[in-house]
Amino acid sequence: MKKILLLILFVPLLFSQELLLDSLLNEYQDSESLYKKTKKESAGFLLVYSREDLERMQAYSLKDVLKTIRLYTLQMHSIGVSRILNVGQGKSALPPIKLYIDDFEITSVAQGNALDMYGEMDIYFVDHIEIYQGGNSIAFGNSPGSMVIRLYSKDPSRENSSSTQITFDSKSSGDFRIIDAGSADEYDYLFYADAAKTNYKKPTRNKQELSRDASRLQAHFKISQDDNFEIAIDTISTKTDIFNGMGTAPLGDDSLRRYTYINAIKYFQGDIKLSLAASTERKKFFNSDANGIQLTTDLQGTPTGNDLDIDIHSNTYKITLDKKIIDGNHDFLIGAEFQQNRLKVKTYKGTNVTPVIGPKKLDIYMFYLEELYNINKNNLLAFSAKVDYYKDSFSKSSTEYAYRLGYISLINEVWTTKLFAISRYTYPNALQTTFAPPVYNVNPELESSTTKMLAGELEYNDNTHRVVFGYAYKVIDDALSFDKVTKKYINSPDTIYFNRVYIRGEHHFNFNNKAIIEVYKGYKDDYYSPGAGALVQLFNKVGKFDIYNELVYRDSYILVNPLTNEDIKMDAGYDYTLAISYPVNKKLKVKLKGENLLNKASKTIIDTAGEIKIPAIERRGLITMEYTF
Amino acid sequence: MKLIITFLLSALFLFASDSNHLKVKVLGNILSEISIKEPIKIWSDDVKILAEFQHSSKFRTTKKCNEANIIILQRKSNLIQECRKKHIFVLSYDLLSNIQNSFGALFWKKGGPNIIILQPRIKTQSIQVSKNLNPYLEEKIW
Repeated sequence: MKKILLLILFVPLLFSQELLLDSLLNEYQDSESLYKKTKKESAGFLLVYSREDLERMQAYSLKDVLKTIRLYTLQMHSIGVSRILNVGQGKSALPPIKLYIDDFEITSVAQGNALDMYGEMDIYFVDHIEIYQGGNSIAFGNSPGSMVIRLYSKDPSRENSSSTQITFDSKSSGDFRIIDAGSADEYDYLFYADAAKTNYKKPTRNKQELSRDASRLQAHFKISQDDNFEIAIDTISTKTDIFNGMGTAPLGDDSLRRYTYINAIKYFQGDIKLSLAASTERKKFFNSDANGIQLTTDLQGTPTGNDLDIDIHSNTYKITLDKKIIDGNHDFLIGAEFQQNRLKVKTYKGTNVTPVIGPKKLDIYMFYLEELYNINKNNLLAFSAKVDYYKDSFSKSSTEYAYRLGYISLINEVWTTKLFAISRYTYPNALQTTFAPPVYNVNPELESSTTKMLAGELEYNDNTHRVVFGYAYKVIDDALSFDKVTKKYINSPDTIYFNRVYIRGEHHFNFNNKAIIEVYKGYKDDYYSPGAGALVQLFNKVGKFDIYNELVYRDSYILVNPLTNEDIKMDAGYDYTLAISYPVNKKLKVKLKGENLLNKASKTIIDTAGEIKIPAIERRGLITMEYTF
Repeated sequence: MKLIITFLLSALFLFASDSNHLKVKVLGNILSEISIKEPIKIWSDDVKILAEFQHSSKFRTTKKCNEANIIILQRKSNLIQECRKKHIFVLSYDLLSNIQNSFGALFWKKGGPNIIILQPRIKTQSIQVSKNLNPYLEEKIW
């Protein structure tokens, strides 16, 4: 069996042949890859999903990428929204993950987590994705995060085309995408739109089907002129069936999540950049339950009511000014940002609990600087510092600091090392301080937590082989943890210690064929998510066929049954994906993909009884046709 | 690659020069697969491309468009009247339609470089192409 599998995976390598000019074109394309222009090696430990990778992976949604990221596990929430958990996630709040689309950071006030809104976004307009782990650069602005995910939209000057793509799957879902991008006179433009309806397997409980079927509308528009300005407008609206909901017998209601932003950038002489941005966000949640809405913190108590109707609106306004100075061996960045977050609870009905609403307005004044100093031609020192002043509408204010010291060395032609020492903070989000669904209380007095980290990476790269070993030691004080007694987030009195290691190996057979193997493990006392995982990716080309094999492994882990407090062992997950694409001609491409083919992907529990186990990625087959005009 | 300052800070410059070198390599490869009545002499309105070709031992170049027999063209506005009858290879897809005399193009579409050689036009201009260019021959503009 193993021999057959090896044969299937590696035979393609033996048949890969390229015409000289074709190879040269591939080399030219690779040299022009946009990620080579945008990636910032000094900004953290970098994972890049190039355009070529994303296309061959047939990554249609951001979660197709999220599920492969080392040290994180993609899971499903009981209300039908996916989320991403850190290795060995404890009782503390979800990790602060930052998401950028080009230069704009998705600032979610009501969600407190950008991936809640954008985690399942379609990425047809995205060129490549950069992921920075391990104390990412302060130069990325806003409050520091544990991981930064940067999505870069396609470059219109390299698109010069209109394309449409339609996908159907084995669960009768459909997804229609269209993109038009190019140049007109001195201006570059990109327009993209997507409409999707996704169906999922419906688990049953008491003969009642639980649905998380979702529909999504998404659009992105960008216009720019080189070295002058760029304006981007983006909107996403997702409607999801309530799934398990917040009771035991949901009556088929839904939730709506909508986010729109505009970001305008003006470039001035002398490397000065001014950005103005505004975003608006809405989360509407309606859950009707035959047995009543049950507080998850009081499962033995009386249900609070039969209907829960919540409608939250929030707005964010940002102005950012950056100046870069490159002088000899110094590369210096200085910048300031003002951000205002406003939240409005428009509707909150249906419970016998009067909600406590925390501060509805938060102003943040940020100042940051970063210095990259070349000690000599092979050694670089990076230092950055950030001072942020927070003031909310309850007149609570605080000054937060973040520092980062980095050392990068090219030891010789093939060995590189990166070392970072970081001190950063995580400011509580509005779901912890201002507004909460009726399952817990808000805590306006919550302070930020501080994280100190030492992290290093050692890399061997001889262009054919690449091996990366990474290590980090983290200490978290005042962690934002959920307290079952007071039913709110508190600053944990315990200090959390955390170690993690990973090793990644890549073998590049040639331009069209490569294999990637990655293994990681976290060392921590509490495990509410897998503590270890692995990834295998094989990218092959046989004739005109692109073949992609992927195996995502996540270790078994322990969950606690909220009703009985008993441990529930969750099995290890093996998520196998196979994707094959074939260009019929210059205009038409046909793609086939099977997700979670073994039906053994890592699962989580979505109900309080601990009976319904759901994977984030369900087993399904997809067929896609792409036509380029 | 050893210079960390290049590696980290000025990757853009490296990226640009490496990429231009490869672009000229692709163009050189195409031109070496075609033959016209006389030895090829190149002019381009893209100074970087022309400079790269000047270092090539395979091709002769000229700084005057009217002395060349192959023109590699970036912008239509740079093509003067007396050069319009020359063999023209363009660097954008739109120019293939806009310049009726252009016989081929290297251009970016859908995130990747493409080559197209128009068969009716090479026939009209008596340009011979080797069989290595067969995969790029087209009867008409897409």
